[in-house]
Amino acid sequence: MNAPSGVPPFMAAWLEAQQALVRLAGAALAPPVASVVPQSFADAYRPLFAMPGFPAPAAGANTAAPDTSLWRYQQAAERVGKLLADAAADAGRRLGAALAADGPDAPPITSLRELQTLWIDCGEAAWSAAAHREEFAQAQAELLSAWVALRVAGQAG
Amino acid sequence: MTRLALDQAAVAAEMAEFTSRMALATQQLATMDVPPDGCSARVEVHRQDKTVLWRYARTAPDAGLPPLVICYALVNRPYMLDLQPDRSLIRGLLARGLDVYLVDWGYPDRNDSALSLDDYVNRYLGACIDHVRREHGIPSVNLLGVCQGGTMAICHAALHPDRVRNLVTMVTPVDFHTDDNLLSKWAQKLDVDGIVDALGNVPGGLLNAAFVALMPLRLTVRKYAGLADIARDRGALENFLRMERWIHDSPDQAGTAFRQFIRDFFQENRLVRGGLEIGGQAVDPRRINCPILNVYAKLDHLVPPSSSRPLGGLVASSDYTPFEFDGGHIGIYVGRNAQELLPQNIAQWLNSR
Repeated sequence: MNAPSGVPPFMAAWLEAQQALVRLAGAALAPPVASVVPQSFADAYRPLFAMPGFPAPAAGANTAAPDTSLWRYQQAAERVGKLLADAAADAGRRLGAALAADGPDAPPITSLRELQTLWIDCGEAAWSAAAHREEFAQAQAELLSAWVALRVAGQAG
Repeated sequence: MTRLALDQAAVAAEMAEFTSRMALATQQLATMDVPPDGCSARVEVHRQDKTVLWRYARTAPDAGLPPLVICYALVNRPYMLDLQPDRSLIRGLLARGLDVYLVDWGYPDRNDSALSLDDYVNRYLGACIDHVRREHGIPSVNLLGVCQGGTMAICHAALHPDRVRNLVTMVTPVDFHTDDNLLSKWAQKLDVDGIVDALGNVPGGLLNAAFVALMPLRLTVRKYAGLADIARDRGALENFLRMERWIHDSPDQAGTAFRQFIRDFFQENRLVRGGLEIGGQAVDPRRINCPILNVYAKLDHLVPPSSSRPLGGLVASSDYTPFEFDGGHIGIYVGRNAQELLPQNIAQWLNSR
């Protein structure tokens, strides 16, 4: 289920959030296979780290000629996409570790709301770690420049 | 997974309740509208191009202080300072007998892409301050700059120290190269010339996306899922809608001014390192010797305190007062504890000078 185009931003974000929560609940209720669950968590994080307005090209779509603005955009989107996927995987690992934690600082989670809070905290921690890196700033800036170049090229016909 | 103690039936019930509340919240929101212009009585007293100077109607006996001119940021709209009757810094100041003016930059369009920081800091802000000086027959005003508007106010005070009697800065970036300033880390890598050359003006939506990306889960998932908690509270939903309207009401940025601000402040940190020029004149913060109140927010994710605090060390003023607010960048305007604390502190501080 994707958010229909034209819906107000808050509605689109709510739909996304609800979908993510459903995915998260599904992953949390699945058999706790350690190697599978963190990946499910990472998959739930991934779309929430995506940058609005910068759709990634479809997988395998990197077919433009190397000297075109489209190729540049594809390269930039791929690079950012890789960093976002890494951040999502890190978030998934953090959540997996937090759920496996024991002791007085790790009380049982008995509701989806508690799980969501933990999920968000782990996601933000992973995002912050990734977003503060110079490599990320560089990749993000290149994506913006590539998008601008693509737009200019499109206007030029 | 030692901590998970979820019961399938309980989760299903929670999801059903959540969905039902969210449906109710969105139904309610669809029937609401909120004005985009703030809530306090005001009149337009000066206009130059798209810049408007508003004067607010005082709601208490005159405190006998020089008028306070508020310089808001170019990013977002200034009605955040007067969002609703119980969340309004401006109302708080009026209630303490201050004479409040607000500079509103309007919405730049493609005809404004050549507007520079010189236009904003010297020409428009200067004309607004001159209007107030003339109207009141005084040589200088109290100037309050908010966020980027605070940086611009600092520049104005450095360029025209005789026009500013007291300077108040709120959540104002000064040192753009502190380690915890994520927005600055991103901006430092931008090819701002390429972007502005291609786009002319910079879309407000692009800046908004960058602001949300600073904390993407908190500022989307947590915030919107929180609607479920207020689904049956119409007043809280109206507050939510006002805030959403403000967040997404992002004027485009005049290209030339944006280019200068990114390059001179974010990338080259010239206010701190030196070498800043606006309109061909050197901007030297050491020329500021008026009293300064520097208000910053302890939990500010946009303008971290580390970015605001250095102001005291850059200016010549011997009367410098830092004030740390226990909240975030938005909470400083609309947080419950801000409503009394902030206007009270600002009014008291001004009154004692």
